[in-house]
Amino acid sequence: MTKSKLPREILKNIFWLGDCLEQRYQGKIYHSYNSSYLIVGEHSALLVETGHPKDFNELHDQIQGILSEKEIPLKYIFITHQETPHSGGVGRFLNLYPDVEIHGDVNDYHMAFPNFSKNFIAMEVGDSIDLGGMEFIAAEPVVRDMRTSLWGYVAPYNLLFPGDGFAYSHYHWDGHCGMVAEEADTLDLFDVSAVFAELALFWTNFVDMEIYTNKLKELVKELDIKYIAPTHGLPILDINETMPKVIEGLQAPYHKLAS
Amino acid sequence: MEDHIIELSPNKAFSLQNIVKLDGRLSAYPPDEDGYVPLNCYLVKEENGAFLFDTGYVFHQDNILLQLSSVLDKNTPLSIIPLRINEFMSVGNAKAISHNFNVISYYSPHPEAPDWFDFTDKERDLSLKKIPTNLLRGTVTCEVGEGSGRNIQVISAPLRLINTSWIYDEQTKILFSSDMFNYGIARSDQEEWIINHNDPNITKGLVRSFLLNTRYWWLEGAKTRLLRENIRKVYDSYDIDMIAPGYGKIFQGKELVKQQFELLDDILNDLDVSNTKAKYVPRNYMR
Repeated sequence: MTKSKLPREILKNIFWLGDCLEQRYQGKIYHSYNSSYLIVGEHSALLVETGHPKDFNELHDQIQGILSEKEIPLKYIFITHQETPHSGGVGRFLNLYPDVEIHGDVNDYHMAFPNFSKNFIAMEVGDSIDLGGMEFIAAEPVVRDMRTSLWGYVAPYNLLFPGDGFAYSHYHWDGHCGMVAEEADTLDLFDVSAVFAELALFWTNFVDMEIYTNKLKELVKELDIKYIAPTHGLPILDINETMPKVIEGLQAPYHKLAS
Repeated sequence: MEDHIIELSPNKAFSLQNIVKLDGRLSAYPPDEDGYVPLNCYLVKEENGAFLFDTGYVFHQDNILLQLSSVLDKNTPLSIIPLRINEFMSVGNAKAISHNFNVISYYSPHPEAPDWFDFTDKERDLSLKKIPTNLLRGTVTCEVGEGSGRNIQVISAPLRLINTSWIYDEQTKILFSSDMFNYGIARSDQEEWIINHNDPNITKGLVRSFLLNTRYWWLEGAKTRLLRENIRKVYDSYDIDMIAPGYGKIFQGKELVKQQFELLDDILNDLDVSNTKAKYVPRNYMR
């Protein structure tokens, strides 16, 4: 593990947490994030994703550092889906914070964490959690990694948490670790989005993703999304600049196969 | 022998089953599906070595450890292959099994397999990292027990949602198909868990619906030609007597195996972009 460049406050009281994960592809070592995000409201904090199992101690240190300073309790965790790099850390958090509520699609968790089955609370699109001055709202998961994926966004920032949507690696060798997408000016977003889609989102190789990316644009418009905080990509703070390149990358594997 | 162990081949291959009643809380099944299914971990073994494919959910940990100890000597060198390293059902008991049996290696698409499964206790056990991880890239051949001459082939699943392996055991002619061919659902928990004759309930409509309502929602209007070719390659490359899925009933017999592959091929052909218009599929859209 590299020494993390996180946490980073990307918007006031919204912290980007986690650490990089090495990914090897065609002889190159890429880095990708397995990010979590901490939203600190006026009376409650909510953690989005529980990080890669290997990163738990680092992630927990980051959270403790922030919440002890803010004097706000961690009350909620939202998980985008049941894959272990997103939700594997749940059991560790519940051991330390047995009263934390885990929200999201709750399939499988009663089998994976049987000692904590009462902590899991099902959410559906439109359900919300009040954090005090901020509200976390479940949203349609347009690009899914499981049948059970669920996205969310936080108002009033209108920052979207799309889980495996907007997944792309970054160049460690160019110092991109800890940067938001717009700061990583040597990052070829089309390339890294396409590589990630080809490797980790198998289905996007076979589906005309224009159908899904059009829906993504609709969702962004409908919810007036202004920022995007992906689990595996760098946070996007300028949608107009960055989203088109990621979308092009998402469509690339299908076009490659079609040609 | 403990309950719900099926000896698929005498002293060579076993299914360790835990039966669950479907109630809409298992991501591998459609949310409106009821009935009963076995969750299957598989053990293949020789005198001096064994492989375990998937380790089950923590919920079943005690039973899985008992089942395993009833068919495997604790000193036998054991290798673990989680067929889907990112899923709880595949990795839930990898740590507990490593603590209770003579685990000598892991197989994973990522280096350092314990980084991917060591999250089920309060603390990590970094000593698990001493057990080597063998990388799964392309087709990997492994020998079950040194010098036995019995090989298994680990292949990348030709149709998958997330990173998934299928395994073919040359000696028993079993294909371990992970999350494919999972639609053998029972109406009661007392049914036979192996199907060896044509089941009239398993129709093209049922299987199509099952695929689209689970992890293959994206197939409608997809380019399925390459998927079909790759699935056919698996069928043509291996002499398969039995399909052993990670969930659901097991299919036994060459003719029944052939039927399942033909059914899948037929459905994928129907769903191809040349026959079906692609459209956005929202979460929980059932058809």
